Amino acid sequence: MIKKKTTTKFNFADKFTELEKIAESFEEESVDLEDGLVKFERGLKLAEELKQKLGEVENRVETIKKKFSNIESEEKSEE
Amino acid sequence: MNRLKIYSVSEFNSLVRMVLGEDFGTVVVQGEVTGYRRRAGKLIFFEIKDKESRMNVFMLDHQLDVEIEDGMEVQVYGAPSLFKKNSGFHLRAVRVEPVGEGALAEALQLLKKKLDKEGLFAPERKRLLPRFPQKIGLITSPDAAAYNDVLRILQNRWTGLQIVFHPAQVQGDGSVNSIITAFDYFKDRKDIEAIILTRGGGSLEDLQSFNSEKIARAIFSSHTPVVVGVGHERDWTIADLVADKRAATPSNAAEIVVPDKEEVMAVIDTFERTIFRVMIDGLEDSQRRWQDGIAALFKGPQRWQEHYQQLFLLLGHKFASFTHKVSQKQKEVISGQQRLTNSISFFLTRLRDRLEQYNKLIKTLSPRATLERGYSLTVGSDGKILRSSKQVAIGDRLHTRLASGSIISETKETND
Repeated sequence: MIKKKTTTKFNFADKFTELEKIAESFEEESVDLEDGLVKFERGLKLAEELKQKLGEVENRVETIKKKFSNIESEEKSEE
Repeated sequence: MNRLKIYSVSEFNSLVRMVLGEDFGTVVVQGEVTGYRRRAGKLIFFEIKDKESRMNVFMLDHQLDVEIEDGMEVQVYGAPSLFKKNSGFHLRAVRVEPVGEGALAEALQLLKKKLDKEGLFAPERKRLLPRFPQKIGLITSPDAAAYNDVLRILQNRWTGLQIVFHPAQVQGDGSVNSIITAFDYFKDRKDIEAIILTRGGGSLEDLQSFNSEKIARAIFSSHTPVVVGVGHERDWTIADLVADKRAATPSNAAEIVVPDKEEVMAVIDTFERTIFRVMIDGLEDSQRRWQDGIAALFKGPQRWQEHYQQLFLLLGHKFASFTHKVSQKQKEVISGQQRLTNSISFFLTRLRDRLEQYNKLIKTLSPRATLERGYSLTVGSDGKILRSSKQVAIGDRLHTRLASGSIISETKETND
């Protein structure tokens, strides 16, 4: 399965994993103050972005219709 | 005298075959299976019998879509025929169906054993579902309650999901092919991260397609992990066994495929708290170490130089850059996320002020500063720093360190 990594699209899984790794590194290793500040900032920024994403509400449903030998798809969004 | 027609063997064989075929067409014969065997991978031979008679049955492998074995009661659909070569009479079958609940259940068991042996149920091959899917496929009947249940749960639990719905018939004739068509469609969609195959509960007959070999193989060969949810059933269908993950109900299938956004929010909160806690502990820790270092500076003049040097190394070049960074951070944090700033910005301000105090203190107390005030440091011939005239004898060579430069001298006189 190909995992898509687009630069413009928000990739929840990647950002979550990055934040998780930062939190883990803070737990396990003793924090070097200078690196720590960089990770600290990055961690808080990721957390903010992820929480904002979770606040969105819509899922989209795309229904596949097969007409004879053609496949038509119609999109309808649901709230 | 009537003249009987004289046939050759093969002529008569053909004639009888034709007559049998015409007169009977397709019939259904019920009996018990015995002597079941398979030849050359494709040819199936067995006999069906009742209390008085037995009859040979012949068919091809692909025409048999149910597992049978000796002792099973079955209905054979076919036509009477003779083999061309040896004129053996047999029922040429095109379809076999197990008879009675017992037989159906038995056939199902046999199929399960066969697929299990092939490895279709193996836990090792079950694939992991993605943690945060963005696009999923859904196969179910649009009329079923299952469809609405799944969409509702997905909507409540997660956000920003794209659901590609391929409708299918989930029971009755044609349902197997309908579901296979849906799987074939998803084969070409590499962007789909998980597929839900679901339906409501039903009788063994209703669920027949979910116990079929074809669908089991479609699930097994799917590139995308498949979650199967059959409503309110305690027993597992074959589709459940092959699935990468089995759900107890359609709603449960939705719960398995997407995380709960409330839970994820809570986890992110704990990450934030961890980062804060460790960072502040780290800063407090550093402050404590530096305080200890400064305190040691006052512990008697002998240890001055060593401690000063240690501190200078520790603080030295790092100090300038760190205080700069700390005050930078403080500015950003104040202008940015208000609710996070208060405790940390206050702490950072205090820390910075303390560090500046220490810096001044060090400068004042350092040997260099002292020398610059006019004091000098004299070392005796044994290398020890002089504090008392009693440490020196007349004639000793002394080395004196001034703020600028040094002097080598020889003792002429001492005064207590």
